[in-house]
Amino acid sequence: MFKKVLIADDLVSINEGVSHTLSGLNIYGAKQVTYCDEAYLQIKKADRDNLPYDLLITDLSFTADHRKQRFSSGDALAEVVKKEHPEIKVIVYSVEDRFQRVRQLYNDVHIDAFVCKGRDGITELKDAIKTVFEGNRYISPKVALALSNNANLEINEYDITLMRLLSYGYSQEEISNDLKEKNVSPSSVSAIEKKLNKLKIQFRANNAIHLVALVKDMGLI
Amino acid sequence: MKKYDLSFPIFFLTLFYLLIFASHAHSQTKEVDSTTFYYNSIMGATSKESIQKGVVFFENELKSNTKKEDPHYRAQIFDLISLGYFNMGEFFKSEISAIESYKALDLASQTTDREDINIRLGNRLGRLYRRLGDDDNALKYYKNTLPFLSKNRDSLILSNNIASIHMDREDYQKAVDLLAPFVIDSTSILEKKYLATIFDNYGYSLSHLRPLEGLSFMKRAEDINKTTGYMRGLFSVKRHLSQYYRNNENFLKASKYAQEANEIANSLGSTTYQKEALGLLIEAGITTGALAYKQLSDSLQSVQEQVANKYVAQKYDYSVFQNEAQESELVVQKEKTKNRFYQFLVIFLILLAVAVFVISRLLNKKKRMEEMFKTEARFSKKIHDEVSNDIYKVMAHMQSSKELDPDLMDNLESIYNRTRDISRETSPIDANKNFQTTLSDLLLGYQSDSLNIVTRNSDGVRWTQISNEKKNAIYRVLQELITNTVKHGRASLVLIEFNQDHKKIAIRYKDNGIGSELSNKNGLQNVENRIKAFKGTITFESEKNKGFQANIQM
Repeated sequence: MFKKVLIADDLVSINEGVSHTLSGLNIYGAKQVTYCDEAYLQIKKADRDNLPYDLLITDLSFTADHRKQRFSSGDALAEVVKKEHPEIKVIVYSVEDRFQRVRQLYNDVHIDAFVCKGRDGITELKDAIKTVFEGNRYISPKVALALSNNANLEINEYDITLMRLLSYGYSQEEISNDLKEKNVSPSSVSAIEKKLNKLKIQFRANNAIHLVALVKDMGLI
Repeated sequence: MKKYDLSFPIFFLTLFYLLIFASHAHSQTKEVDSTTFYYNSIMGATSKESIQKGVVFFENELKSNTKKEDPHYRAQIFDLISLGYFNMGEFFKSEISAIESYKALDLASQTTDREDINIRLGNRLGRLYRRLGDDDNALKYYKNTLPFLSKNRDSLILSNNIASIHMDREDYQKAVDLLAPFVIDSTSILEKKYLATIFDNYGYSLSHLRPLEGLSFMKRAEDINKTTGYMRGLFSVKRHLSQYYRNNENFLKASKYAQEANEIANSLGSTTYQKEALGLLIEAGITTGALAYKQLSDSLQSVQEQVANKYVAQKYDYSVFQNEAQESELVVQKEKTKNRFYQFLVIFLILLAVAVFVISRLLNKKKRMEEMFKTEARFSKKIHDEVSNDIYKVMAHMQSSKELDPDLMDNLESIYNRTRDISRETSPIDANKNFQTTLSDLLLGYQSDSLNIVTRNSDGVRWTQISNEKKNAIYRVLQELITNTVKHGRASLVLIEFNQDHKKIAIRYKDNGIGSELSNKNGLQNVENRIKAFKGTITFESEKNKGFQANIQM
């Protein structure tokens, strides 16, 4: 398990909650700081003393006060740590749930985990620490969709054609033949079957009949 | 020393008028008694009041008389009025009337008295300008009149008037040239007064060229006046003689004649003459009368000033009269121009006001919307940073404590989630990011185990062509519609279809929920307001168990 952990959050009570969680994982003596700059200095000092940190758990939003900070947010801190000390694992633990920001941190900054604060926050944080320690990445289920492709939402003309043919009572073979006649591809039965299964999921349909009923209700065909 | 106008022209020309009018008068006076009466009141020049009455009478005649349009009649009456004013000393009015008479005369057909009127007017204007100190104009009118004169006596008087102007200007040669024919033909001058005057003026002028010759003529004039007892003529000659001797530095004789002139002046009782005589005495070297001279001079000066003031007043009257005439002609034109100007001004101001109003409204609207977004963003951040975080702090604290009350935790979580929702609904969108991604992030955020969202043609809209404000509005509208579906719809599926026609975007939003009675729920009211701000339209369709649909155009 991680030996040396740094917790950065401007709310002391949260720090303590996290500390409590860590002790459940047999991690003791985690360093708590309330400023990003402070966290950065701790990391630098530990590195020079040859006692580097293994893990950084940081919030994103830090309330600004009279102290002028070089790093005003957890985003900036995570970025600089990942850049200068790639060996340190970084977990972002935040109330943030905007997909854009999550995606940016996960894909561009390459943080190791993104955990949403919330009712299940502590549980998820435990999972995240374990997952990261095993060398994998973690993202809270609540924001996991941020990483999905927006094409998952979109249906296209091919989909509509497929469902229209289905509404005519065509079998998958008949649909395939029809598409071949119209020179529409893909027209193989297997491709059609795959597509229809995906559409069933997308429309929450239990079967083909249900799917047709739903899209008709929605006015798509 | 050159004030001839004091002595000669006045008495000369009064006579001159009477002479010329004599024949003319009779033809006029037989018609109406009142006409005759007022004619005489002007011609007789007995008092200012009677002249005034005459002038008023004839001015009224010009308005009411049946012959008022007849140019010849008008010429005669204006001439008469002009004379009246002249005798009252109102030279400017006299001038105006004279010119009116000239105008009428030009229109009149040939008549026997045309020349007479011409002469009278020319002479009057000449005198008038001389009185007003405008010698150039005076000369002009005298000279224009001279050719008309057939009667020897008339031309003699007029020539004498002209000569006096030349003498004033010390242009003695011209005066001599002008008067010489009369001197040569002096035997034909029967009236001694005129003869003496001619000799006097001719002699004095000639004395500047050939002193002795001139002196002899002056002596002759002195003799004639002595015999006839014409004192004013005698005064004039004595004055000239005094001046002559003084010019030739014979102060003894100069003072002698000056003394004699003074005596005559005293006998005449005329201050003007007295002053002149005293002036001569002083010039001749006799200073005993200096004080008297000064007193006279001062009193005369004040009289002259009064007269001058009167002139000024008359001049003013005249200019007012002239202006009125011009104005009456211009008044209509001016009014028109003025009206047109004001019309343009009013139209311009109205247009300006409308433009300002419209522009300020547009600016205001934009400002208001920006303000609204800013406020929303501020609240969003406040709720997110302060309320949500604080609630979470409580939750975290409770989680770390030993005894956990699940109900309390549920309630807290519900409050927490609601603050998150409010924050999310009002947080600003990043207009610089790809809007399609922003939109899909929004929709994905609502995607859950119980709700799927499907979009169609969201990549068919060229979002870069759409203004940030509009994109923001679309984002909020969809957000509110989905929130509405989640809260009330009990739907498992939401479909959002996009279509673009130039800069207009059409969106069909449909869920498969239970549908609802459409009422102005707060969320939908906000949706309507947002769309109206872009002059867009939205229609709602909802039927029990057939889901909810909104068609948006903006």
